[in-house]
Amino acid sequence: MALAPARSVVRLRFAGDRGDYWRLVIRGNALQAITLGIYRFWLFTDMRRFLWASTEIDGETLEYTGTAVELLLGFLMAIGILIPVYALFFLASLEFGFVSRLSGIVAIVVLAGFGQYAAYRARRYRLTRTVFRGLRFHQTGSPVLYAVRAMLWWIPTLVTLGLAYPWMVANLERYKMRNTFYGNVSGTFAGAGWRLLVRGLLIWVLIVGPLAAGIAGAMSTIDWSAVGRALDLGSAEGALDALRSNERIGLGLARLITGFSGSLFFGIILYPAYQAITMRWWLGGLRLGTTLATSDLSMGDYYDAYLRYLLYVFLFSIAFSIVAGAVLGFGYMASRGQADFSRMPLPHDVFAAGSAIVAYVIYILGCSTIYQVVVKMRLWQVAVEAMLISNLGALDHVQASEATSSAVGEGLADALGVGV
Amino acid sequence: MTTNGTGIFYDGRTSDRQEVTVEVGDDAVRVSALSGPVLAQWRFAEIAPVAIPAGGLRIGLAHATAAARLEIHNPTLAAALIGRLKPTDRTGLTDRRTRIKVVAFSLVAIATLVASAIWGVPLLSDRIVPHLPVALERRLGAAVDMEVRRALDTSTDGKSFECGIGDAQSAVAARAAFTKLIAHLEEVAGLSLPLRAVVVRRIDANAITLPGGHIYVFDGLLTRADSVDELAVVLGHEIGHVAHRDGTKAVLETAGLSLLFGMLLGDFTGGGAVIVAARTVLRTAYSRAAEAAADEFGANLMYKVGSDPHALGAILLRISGNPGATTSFHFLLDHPQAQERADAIARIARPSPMRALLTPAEWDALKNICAGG
Repeated sequence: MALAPARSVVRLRFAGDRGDYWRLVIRGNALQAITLGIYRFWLFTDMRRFLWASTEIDGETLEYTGTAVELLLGFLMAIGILIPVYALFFLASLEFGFVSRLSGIVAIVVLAGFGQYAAYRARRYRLTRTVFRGLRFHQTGSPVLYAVRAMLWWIPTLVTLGLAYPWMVANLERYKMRNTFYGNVSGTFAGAGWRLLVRGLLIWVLIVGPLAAGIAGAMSTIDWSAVGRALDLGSAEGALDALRSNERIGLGLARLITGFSGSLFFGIILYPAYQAITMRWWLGGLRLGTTLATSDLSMGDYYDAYLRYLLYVFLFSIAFSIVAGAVLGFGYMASRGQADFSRMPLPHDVFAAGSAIVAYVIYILGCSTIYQVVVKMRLWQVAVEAMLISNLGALDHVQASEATSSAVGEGLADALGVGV
Repeated sequence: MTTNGTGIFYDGRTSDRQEVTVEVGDDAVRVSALSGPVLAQWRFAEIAPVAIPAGGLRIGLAHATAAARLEIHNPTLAAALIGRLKPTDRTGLTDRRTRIKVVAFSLVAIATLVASAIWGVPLLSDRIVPHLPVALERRLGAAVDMEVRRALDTSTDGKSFECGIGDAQSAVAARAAFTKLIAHLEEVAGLSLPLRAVVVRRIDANAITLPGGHIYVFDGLLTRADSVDELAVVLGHEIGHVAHRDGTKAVLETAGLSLLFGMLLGDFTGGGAVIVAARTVLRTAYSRAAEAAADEFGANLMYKVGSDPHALGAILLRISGNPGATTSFHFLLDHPQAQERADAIARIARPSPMRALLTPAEWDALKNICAGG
């Protein structure tokens, strides 16, 4: 085989077969149900192996070398870490009765910090299990510092109603990428926060706008002079009465609800757009040494994936109700005919409750299976195929660098339900 | 016999792509540079294939830290090599044998965890709780008490939640009667922590016990009790919960169940329903056992104070209304059914010397404890 000719810009290729992935995910999810979730480590590993192996860069595919047993052990260790933490929360809420109201908030903040810590370690695990051309990726940097950084960034993001979000993402990505290595070549992230802001500003306006307008509209219906008079009398109760006695309270409430529904509507409708914009911006900011990525990701592909998902779930629901109805019908006929429930080991209410649970699990798991293929895999494929790499030749003679990592981070992320 | 061909080799030290000659020998595959020198020699037993899209074969060493890889795109050579490797799935995915093994081990694990939930969790909590300091239980009780009060106190008519407070003559008399009854039962029961029993304004015919010796007697129970014995026997049952520290046990058991079902098992989409069902069935099973034990404690206490243990059966059957009704959701009841409880009491009750716990006047005052403001 001849060496590839001089490459200027290389487009990534997705080499996976969708049918294979359907088979893998359906079988994996069925086994998950049978094993009450224990099989997920094997399913996730297979999904990653498939997706990595399907990602082809100039004729060379990525390789995922992680194993399910590592994930299982990581999960068990994470449980070992989390149990004392939960126990501590419980004892603290008893010991300091007056902060027991606060302990909920404290728990959320601490667990969110744990989640960030876990996400960073999980990323390191996945990178060290990613092989390209015989070399591993790896990640340096401190997961604790990363978690602190991520948590602190939430303050300006919340204060600015999300306007600071692009800078938060850019800053965290810079931290992650400058600690990312392929062999001895380190990465950088070139995406600028303001660029993401400009591209996403319309979405922000459409989501925050209606809610803000609703709140402002509701405020304008309040008779402030009456509230002022009541406050002058020095009674908060009086102020509340003044608010309550206002006949336009209904109008104010209607405006508030309209604003909120508008925000919700745009939030749902624009979610794929937000995902596509962020993904395109992120892909375009990735650098590894002097090798750089650009992306011509199309928003339409994202909408296509989600619409297809809705269609498939609709069809699946129809098929499911037909099958479930038939089973129910046969069950009913059997109960009127030959089958004598009083002679069955389980009374028939128990039987009914049991089959309802089984049906529910099958339906929900079915929808989740469709989602994993029609949305998750499709979006991976779309992102891969939209990625262009310049100066790939700079990665032709990279030296290896030693690094491995444990799967505790993945386990923590799994136990905490942090999406990975 | 050897088969020769070409392949692409990455040595795991650099990302250099090297064209190589590949010789499949008797027990190993030998990789040589085109210029001659041997780059690697891998024994078949140590080789693991790696996931790669159809049409090629990629192999590496199973337990090496360096990720050296050999890729073969020539089908004949690939087939020759696959024939020599130990049987493996060349997609690199989890193979059939591993899948079966994982499912089998998982089923064993589930059986073990379910067995731990049925027998281990109550056994552990029975062993641990007696060693927990009373102070801890009282703090737990104080925390739970606040929540329970907030949840139960639904009165909006301005009347206090607790009955029999204030200086009115009737309130003082009612309080005295209640205190006398409680003090007598408490003394005979010999508890490790003081009782804090109150009558509260709720129309349900019920009484509840919280950790730390808190007992709430609902007014609805008091109005439906025909005699002081009927009230005393319910109190005896609740005091049984206090003596057995059932509230604290329930906290431990709930935590144990959450660990088994929720953290270790059931973490998959749609698994929530399975978890809720399993936890509900098990928690009510623990609860039924605790209730039966409290009934027994109550009956013995009644015998000791010279009251009638059968009163429990009488009041239970009156409250439940229809003693004959049965349900196939029996396994979802947290208390044993009324008739069953009455029968169980009848089995353990012995004839006891009857003594009145309160005078008729005291009983009248107590019955009307919630009538005042």
